[in-house]
Amino acid sequence: MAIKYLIMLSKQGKVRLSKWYTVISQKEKLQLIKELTAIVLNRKAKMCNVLEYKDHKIVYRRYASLFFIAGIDVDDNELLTLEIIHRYVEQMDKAYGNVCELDIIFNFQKAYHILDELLLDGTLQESSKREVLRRVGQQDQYELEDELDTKF
Amino acid sequence: MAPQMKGLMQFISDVRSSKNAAEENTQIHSELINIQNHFKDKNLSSYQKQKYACKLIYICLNSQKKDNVVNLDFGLPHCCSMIESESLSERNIGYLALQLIYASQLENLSEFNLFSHLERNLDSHQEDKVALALHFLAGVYYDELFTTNELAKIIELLLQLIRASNSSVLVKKKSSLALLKILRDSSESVKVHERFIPRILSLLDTDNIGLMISLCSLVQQISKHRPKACIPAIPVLIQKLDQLIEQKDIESDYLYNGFPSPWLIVKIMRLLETLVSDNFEQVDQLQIEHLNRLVKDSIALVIKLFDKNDKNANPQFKNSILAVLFQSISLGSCLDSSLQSISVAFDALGGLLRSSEVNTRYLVLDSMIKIIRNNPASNIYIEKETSKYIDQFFQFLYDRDTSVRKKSTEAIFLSTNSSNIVMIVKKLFEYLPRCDYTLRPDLILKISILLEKYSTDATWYVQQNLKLVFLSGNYLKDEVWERVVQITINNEDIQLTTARLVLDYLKQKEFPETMLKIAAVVFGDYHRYLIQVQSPLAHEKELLSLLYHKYFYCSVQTRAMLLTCFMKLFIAYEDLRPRILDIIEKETCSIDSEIQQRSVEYLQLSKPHNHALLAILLQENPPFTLKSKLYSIPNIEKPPVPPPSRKRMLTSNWEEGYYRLINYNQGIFFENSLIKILFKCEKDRHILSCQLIFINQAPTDITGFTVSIDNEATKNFSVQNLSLPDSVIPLGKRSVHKFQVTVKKPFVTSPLIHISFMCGTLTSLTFKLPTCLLKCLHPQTLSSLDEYSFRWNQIAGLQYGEYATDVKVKHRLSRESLLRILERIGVSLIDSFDPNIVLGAGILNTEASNYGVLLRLELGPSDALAFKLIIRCTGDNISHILVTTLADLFSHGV
Repeated sequence: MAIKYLIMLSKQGKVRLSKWYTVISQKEKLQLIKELTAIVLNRKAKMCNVLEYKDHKIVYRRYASLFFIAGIDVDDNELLTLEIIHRYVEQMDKAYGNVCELDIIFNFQKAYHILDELLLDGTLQESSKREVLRRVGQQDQYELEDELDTKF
Repeated sequence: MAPQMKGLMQFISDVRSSKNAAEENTQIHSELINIQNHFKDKNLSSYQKQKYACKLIYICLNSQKKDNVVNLDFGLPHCCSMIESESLSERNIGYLALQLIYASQLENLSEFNLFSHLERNLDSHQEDKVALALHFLAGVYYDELFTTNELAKIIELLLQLIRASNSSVLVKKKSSLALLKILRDSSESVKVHERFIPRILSLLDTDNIGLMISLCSLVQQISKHRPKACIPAIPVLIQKLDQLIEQKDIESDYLYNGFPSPWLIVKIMRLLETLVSDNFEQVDQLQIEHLNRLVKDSIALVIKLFDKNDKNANPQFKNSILAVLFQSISLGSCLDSSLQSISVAFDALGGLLRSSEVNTRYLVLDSMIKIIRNNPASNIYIEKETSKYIDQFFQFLYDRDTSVRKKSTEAIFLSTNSSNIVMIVKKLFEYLPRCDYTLRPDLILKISILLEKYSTDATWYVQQNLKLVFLSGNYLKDEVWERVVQITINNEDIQLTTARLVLDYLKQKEFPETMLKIAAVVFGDYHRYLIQVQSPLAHEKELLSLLYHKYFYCSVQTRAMLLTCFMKLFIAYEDLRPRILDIIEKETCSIDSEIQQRSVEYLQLSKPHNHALLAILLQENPPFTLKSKLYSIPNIEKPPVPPPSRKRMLTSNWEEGYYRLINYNQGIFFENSLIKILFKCEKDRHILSCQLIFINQAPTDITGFTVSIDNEATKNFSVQNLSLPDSVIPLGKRSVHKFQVTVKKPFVTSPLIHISFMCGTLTSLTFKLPTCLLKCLHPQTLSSLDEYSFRWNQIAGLQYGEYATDVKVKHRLSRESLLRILERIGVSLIDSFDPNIVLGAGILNTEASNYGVLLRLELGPSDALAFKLIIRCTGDNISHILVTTLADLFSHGV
């Protein structure tokens, strides 16, 4: 019971972030992204956020210009996966300060760090918003200190 | 907000502002050369290293197209050196680069020893170093990355981190998930490290919700491989679930829109569902009842919240409570399949079925489908409930959303039975032409399975199937039309009907090719029904032209079938012969070798001297013995077969208490520096009412206390818990476990009890319970020695009635103490008039029947350390069990 992959897709079909929690070849990844792009971007706003895809399910949600797509097992809880995505977005919003697509493009490493504090191996690690933000904030602090070190 | 790397930002915006792919490529390649040059510099600052690594990551992430592969291998050694850095942000970027760019090259690292790096870092005192190493471990693929020994060592380190009292919660969470990742990648590790399971289970008794979330996922993975080993976690999980659902003491951080951590609730429910359904027999009834109550409470709670907030609640809140609802229903359906429980679930779901939100409709259908699947097809309650919703399911076939349409097809499929099949098939046929092309093959398959499964009338079956063939065109699987042919050939009374129906379809302007295949078989064998002398339905010429009409539009397979059919007609009707020979002759020049071969052969056979042979070759098809292939299509997932359980080792020094309590009915069962266990047993025929009293002798509280009794070893007795001990036993306090053993038939092995608790470290104890067969022995007074002798001789005839052994004792036992023991265990003594012979009688009660037991002891000289014990019993083999138990008892020095 875990997320198999999480893909952040712009509405133009560009991948902004992808994290794979299962072993899958580069070729298959590209194929999958291609197919998912075709399926998800074509869906209308009020359609179901869950759909069956091959041997698993995908759960997606759109936030402004970005689609967040998660692949999960057939017997996994779909609504809570949606909420994990929501948590992720909320946390990015806090950490970046009103996040937008460009923030993620230019500061992608941070998006990965936040994700790592929320999910490990596709499994929820911490559901408390404060706890994750505390960790992310700590990391920012270290980076700041590092930078000061190099300057002086 | 962290500082941003200006160079990186500049680079990204340069790449993004490129006008075309060629310009972008130039940008990237010149930057790569730049980075390569910089990497040669030994004195690169930490900031610069990070910047360049980030640029590499960016290039890698954006070049993931087949035609644009960039070689980034040169950066690998630098990224490896970065993860050794003292600067945490440099490390962080280093790990990120290794995961995102070099994941597939890690196993070939020659200069850098990844294993010793990780080993060192997991052992570090700096929490952040450990955390980063753990992130890395949870994000790489284990296949061939480490040797078996290295992997074992890593697992060992992770286990230490999870359990160590000085690890922070953060490290514990991350190490449990890193361990989960390893277990998922190499299930072998569970076998090797089996002994760690109880220790992990004992950690579940934590108040930290974040940690609990991670641990539940880990245990879920373990239970996949070792379902039995996780049973002891059930009570703790139920207790935690109780806390969450009844909303007691939840930290505000873990309330999600005011609802206690839906993630944890769902994880616990899922875990319990796996544990309980895999081991239903072994789980205590009281616990199941408690769980059932919780499931009902949580369903009621969610519905109440939902109704109260329906209009203005935010979607997050609704999602999370509905997630809990679906999980509760899923858990409930594996606990209890009574009418009440099923209708509670359906009522809760039915109310939501009309929801305006498409996600809800979809998931409600999904949840209903799960309930139906979890219950055996014969469950009449399900039938009753689904009949209420079937009309709604049909409405959903026309829903705007494909996902919903697909689910409702599934729901209808599962709600069909032999009483509603006619109505359902009719409605599905109405829907078929309007069904999406993508969903059509599945729908057709479903209809044909339903027809196969629930048809009671062969004529109706053929009618509907031909209709299906006609409507579905080229979406039909071969199995469907093949089955129609099989059924027709096997049932003489429907051959006429089939032939007639097929004829009607062939007269239509358009029909699918499949219909022609059926016609080729049916007309070949049953043309005589159509061309009867009295009331012909068709003329033979008409028949031939109908078949030949579309011949050249058909596939090779159909043509071959038609050729055979023509030859059959060739034999039957002389006036058709010239026409048929014409067709065959033309086909001898066919470009398809199969058709050509066939027609050349048929042409030869059509010569007059070969007619006898031809008639034999083209005889009517014999009835089939094949079963339908449609059933082999997997529709319902099979539950996994749990692996056989492993024998647990008994705790050392168990014998003393065990034999003491076989001899006495109450006393000290076990004692060590932490705990003292008293046992008390009241015998009442075949029912043994027992009490275990646990007294905390440790210097602190005992927590996470669980007991479980193996109930599986034999069907010959059952153990029922009357009350379970508390999970926490405070310092110096006691807790009682009451249970009842019902002996149904004689048995050999005493049940085992497993006890585990936390007290500083995890302690687990396993004992044999002294509730052996001997405990069912009750005194039986015989009037005289003569009666004893009479019975003794009576049993002599029984083949396995007697058993004798020489008992050796450690210390000398006086005759008197021997007699006292015998009386205590339930033997009534008879005066034998010989001081060296002791005689006794008893009756052994079991639920199935009672057995007479006669006992004879032949004592040696008064100082001898041995005597002979003989028992005769009216049941087979029982004397053997009793003698062995008694001999053990005596030789353990009572």
